[in-house]
Amino acid sequence: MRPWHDKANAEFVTLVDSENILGNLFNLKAIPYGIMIDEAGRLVKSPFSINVAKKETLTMLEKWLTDPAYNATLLGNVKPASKSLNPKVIEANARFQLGLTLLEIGKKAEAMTEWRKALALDLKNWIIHKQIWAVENPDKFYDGNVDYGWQKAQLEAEKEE
Amino acid sequence: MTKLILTTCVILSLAAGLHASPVSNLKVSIDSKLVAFSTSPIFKNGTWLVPIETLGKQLGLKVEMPDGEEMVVICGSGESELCVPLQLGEDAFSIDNVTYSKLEDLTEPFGFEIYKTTETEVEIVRSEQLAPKFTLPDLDDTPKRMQDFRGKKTLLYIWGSW
Repeated sequence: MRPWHDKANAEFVTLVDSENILGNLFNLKAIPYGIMIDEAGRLVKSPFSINVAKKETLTMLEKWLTDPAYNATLLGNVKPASKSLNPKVIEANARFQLGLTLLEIGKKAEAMTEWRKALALDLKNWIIHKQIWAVENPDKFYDGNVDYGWQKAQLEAEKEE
Repeated sequence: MTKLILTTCVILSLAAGLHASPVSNLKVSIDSKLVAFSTSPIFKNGTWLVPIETLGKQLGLKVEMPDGEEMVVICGSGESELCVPLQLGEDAFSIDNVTYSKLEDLTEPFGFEIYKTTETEVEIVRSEQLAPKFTLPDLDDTPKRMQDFRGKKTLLYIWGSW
């Protein structure tokens, strides 16, 4: 994470979530996601698909920072994310966590097996999907630039399978 | 004899202090709405004492004063069946026929959190409104808690390098 943080001259705090703690807490299936929390620690806006390059996103965030009434409006509309009770999703999360632990102790093949089982249980989970790709093809992810063209081609290939 | 005199003095001092120092400028909000107190909260020994009946009602708590008992019993409502006894003279104080307790004793056992906007403005936050708590390391491996960001609006932007 450090190279991206430094390259952006970031003044914000960057936290490292190597165990997918936030994914589990907020039941996330993909990233990037934004979560807005006010001064009192209240969830103001549940996880939402965020693109900070979009003008409307920045306008909304600026309004939130400057207009206390808007914070109250958002608070009134918020629906806290509920953790999934779907047994398949629960098992997928458990297998994903197990895979992370196995990878950490050097058991890459066993980790991949767990993640593939996890993905089969939660097919739309892009966090699991990309984790598999990144460990199988580190050159497409960790050589300075992420190869999104490769990801697109890979996705097409997998669809055909 | 000396011990008896000293003990008596301390108790009198507390009682006199409670009468002498009413502070009327504590603002308490729940769900962004200001609580209207008919009797003002009191600041004593570094803590706020609030009228139990008024605030308890606003928080949806049941307040009972069992006959013949020197205590106030506060009970949660809904799913919370927790009842907390507050001993009169120790945890709760009767002043001019109004019973007060510490703000924390009326909120924290029932899952509410207190957010201090200023020294005289507090917001009572319901636990179900709070963002989930977590701790994660920063880039220097220093653990950071979500609560460490209280007092600032925080955008949690979750992303991955892939």
